[in-house]
Amino acid sequence: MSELLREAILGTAHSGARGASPADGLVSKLDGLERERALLLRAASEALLRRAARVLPQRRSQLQIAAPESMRPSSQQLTAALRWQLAQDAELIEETLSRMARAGVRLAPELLPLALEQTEPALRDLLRPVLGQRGLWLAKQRPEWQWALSPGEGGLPDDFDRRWSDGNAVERRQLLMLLRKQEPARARELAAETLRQERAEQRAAFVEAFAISLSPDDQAFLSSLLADRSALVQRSAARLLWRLPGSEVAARMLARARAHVRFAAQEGHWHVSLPTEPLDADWLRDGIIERPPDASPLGQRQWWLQQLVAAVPCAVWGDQGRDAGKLSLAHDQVFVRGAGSVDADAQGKRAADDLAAEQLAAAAAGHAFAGVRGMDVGDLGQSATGAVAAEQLVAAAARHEFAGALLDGLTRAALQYDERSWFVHLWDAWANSELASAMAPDPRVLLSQKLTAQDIALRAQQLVSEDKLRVLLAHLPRPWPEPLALRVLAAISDLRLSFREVIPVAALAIPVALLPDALPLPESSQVQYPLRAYVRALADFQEVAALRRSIAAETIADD
Amino acid sequence: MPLTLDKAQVLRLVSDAQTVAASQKLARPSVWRGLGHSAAALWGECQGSAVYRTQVARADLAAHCSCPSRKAPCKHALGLLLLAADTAERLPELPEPEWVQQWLERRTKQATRAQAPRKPGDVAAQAQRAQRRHDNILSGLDQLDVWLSDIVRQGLARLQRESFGFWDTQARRLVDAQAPGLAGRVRAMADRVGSSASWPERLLDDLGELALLSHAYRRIDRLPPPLAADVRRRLGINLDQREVLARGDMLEDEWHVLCDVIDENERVRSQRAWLRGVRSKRSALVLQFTPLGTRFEAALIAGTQLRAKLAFWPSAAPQRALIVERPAAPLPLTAAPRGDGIAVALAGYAELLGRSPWAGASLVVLGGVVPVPAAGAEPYAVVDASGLAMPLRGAEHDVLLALSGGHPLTLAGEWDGYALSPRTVWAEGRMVALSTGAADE
Repeated sequence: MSELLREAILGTAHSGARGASPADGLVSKLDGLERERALLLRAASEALLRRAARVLPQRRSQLQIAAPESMRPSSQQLTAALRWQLAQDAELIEETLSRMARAGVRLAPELLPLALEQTEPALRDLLRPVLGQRGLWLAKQRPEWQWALSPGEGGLPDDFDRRWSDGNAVERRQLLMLLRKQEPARARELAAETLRQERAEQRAAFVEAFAISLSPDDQAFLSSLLADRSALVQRSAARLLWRLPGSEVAARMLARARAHVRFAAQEGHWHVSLPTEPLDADWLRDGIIERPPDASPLGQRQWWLQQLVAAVPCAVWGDQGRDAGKLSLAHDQVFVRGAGSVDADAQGKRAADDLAAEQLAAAAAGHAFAGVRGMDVGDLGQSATGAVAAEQLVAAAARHEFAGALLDGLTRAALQYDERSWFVHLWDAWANSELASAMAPDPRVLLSQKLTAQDIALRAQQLVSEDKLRVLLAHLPRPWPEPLALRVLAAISDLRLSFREVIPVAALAIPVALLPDALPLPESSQVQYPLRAYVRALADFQEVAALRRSIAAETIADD
Repeated sequence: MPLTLDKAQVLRLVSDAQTVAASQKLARPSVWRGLGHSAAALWGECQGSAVYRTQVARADLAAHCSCPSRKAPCKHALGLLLLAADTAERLPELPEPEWVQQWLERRTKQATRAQAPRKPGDVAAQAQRAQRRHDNILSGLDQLDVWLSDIVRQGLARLQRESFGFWDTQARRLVDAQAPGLAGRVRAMADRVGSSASWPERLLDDLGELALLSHAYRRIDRLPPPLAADVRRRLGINLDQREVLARGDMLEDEWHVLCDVIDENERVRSQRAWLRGVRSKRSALVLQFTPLGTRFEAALIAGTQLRAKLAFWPSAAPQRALIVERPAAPLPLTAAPRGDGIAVALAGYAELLGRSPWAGASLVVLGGVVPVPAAGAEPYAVVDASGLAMPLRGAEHDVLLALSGGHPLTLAGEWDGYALSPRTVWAEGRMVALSTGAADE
């Protein structure tokens, strides 16, 4: 600190000594200045001298040099479009980035910091392949950018331990979910260590994180939570145990489901006896929720039925009437498949190892197991085992007096246990009925997200012509198959007003190759209410279509 | 050829990404009708939910559109420019339609009016006003000097306990005294206190500068006229453009536009463009202000060059200038400018301060520099081949780092003797304008 500065900080009233300054020579030429004034003028001169004769330190760049790029650079326009998408409006980003990756086009360097700041795991996975050598080089410069260097699945933060011990409730919950994805066993140990100190709500939230990477390894831990002092925690743990076939809870749920529900293949009819009131306390302990959600169309007893059906894999119903030993094996296989939603095959193998060897050998020889090994569990029905097809089961459920509870239960179970061949039949049942859902989210929406391109193509006519199904268009996987895309385009071009809400969805979901170069827009002077909003939507459609086309043109793969 | 710029430069006309995104959707022939160009303008009718007439003057890229957007240029004008840059053949040479002619005539009239000399009657009234203002400022300075001395007497350490009102009251007094330049500096001090470990040092610099300005203004009649002009400008006594045209030095040259920085506050968009003369080697700062959502009079885009006559504000170290004439459309710069070493840039700035202590920040163009991230107490910096490290203002320089990848690059920015604000980068055969932001000096 210079003497002048010390004098100024203390104040001339409090400092005796007058500090010397290199500017003294300049200022001493002025006569009759009070001390404060002289100090200020010396400060001004000193600042000027310092700025004019600025002495800079010597430094060396310690950075390595980035490797040369092998991918193509992106154009200025694509860069501008991406900057907008990364910063503001992400609706096209998946399409843009995956096209770039396929075509071997990399992000411009000026976008890399913005890209590396992204935290969404899904977005990070899309960004990784387009970062280029420069992106990898840049990622090394900051600890929080290291995610780009790992091969995928947005790894754990470096300071996980510190954040785990210091984080607030929400943050800890997120960290636990992240850890479940990466290292399920370590997450279990961590939760077991700290769970006692948490409040009941946080404990229940922690338990819910176990839905991620759920496996038979979690069974002992979850079972121990059935004795937790909070009913909420007990229930969360119990409902996860439904999905672990080795657990006593799952066995009890299966027995209850079988006791109350049975499908008679010969008659093609579901025999249902509703659980009776009052609800057995054991049922509550095993995770059944007593009261239906507000606004649920189901009465209390049907609500209990829905939960019974939702608890066990759908495949259970097609198997009824067959040999019980083989049956439970099939049941196990399905349970495990659903539990391992992240990596179904690996989970399946691990669980298979857990089975007694002789049982496995015996089962492999038997035809029931062969049916299960067909991997798609719903195929069970079509196999030569005599089990009933999913289509038939669903159709019978839809005709049943308790159709709402049965369909809803089957839908939640099919989604939970990833029983894919059931999806389209369940979708059909819901699409053709007026039934309301027992709980949110709406099963029609959930199933729409799971339809295959082929399923959609076969239902294109229905999706376009039925008013009540039109809202589902927004939830279908993208891009749409050609039959649907062309039908929607035709409807939009015909200025069908009921398609107003579909236009922005269509702009994003119609495959680029099918986007029209221009839609016939009516002369604006002739457009009156209510067509005005519609025409505005069409103009937006044109804009989005043009942007998608130009992105596609720039990212044509060199093959 | 209707347009001499490429798409990248056209995109620099706007700062907001939304307009950029929207304009790209409009850069297609199918949405346009009646496209054409003449020696003076480009035009077309954009077919959206309504028909908009869009026109652009070729000399300065000023745009006008019948759409209701408050943005300037709007997405239609930008779309038209992108289209012209991309597929020039879509805009055939045609006679200007009536609506284009009318707009061009309006522009010419406005320009002549702005440059017309003031009527003699105004001059006398103006002199009277100037004298009143001079007296007003002097009494304001008396009060300021007392305030400054009191701060130094009590010591800077005490300032941390002062509220914003302490600074604001003084700033208002200076506004009343018609010295808005000083008022702005006092307000800026309020933020300085406690802002960093070295705030007392910087604050003392600021206080000293105020005292020096006050000291100089009292002796303004004895200062050489160019230096007196600098003192007046610093106090906020602005010359209007007519006076600059009448009294300023004129310089005709081929100018490279090396930085353009656009700021927006609640009311005003401002552009700070730094130009360097090819023959004269002079730097020029062109400031433009426009109400939010309107266009700048003369678009200046980093990475272009233009032939122009500039008029410099009278100054002992002239930097600020206005464009008097620009006979031709701007052309893209074909190569990175030649950059200096850091020592040469420092010497140039020392020379500038030697001529006028009130010269603000100035353009520096550095060649062969590598960005070096902050390490411990060392700030983010750029290092040249000799190893000299020039500190960068602020901490957000990751874009610069990404552009370098550890390789040397060419950089244009603003240096004020404290820190460098990087603005434009040339690397790997490309030019990138770093995101705009306020210079905090």
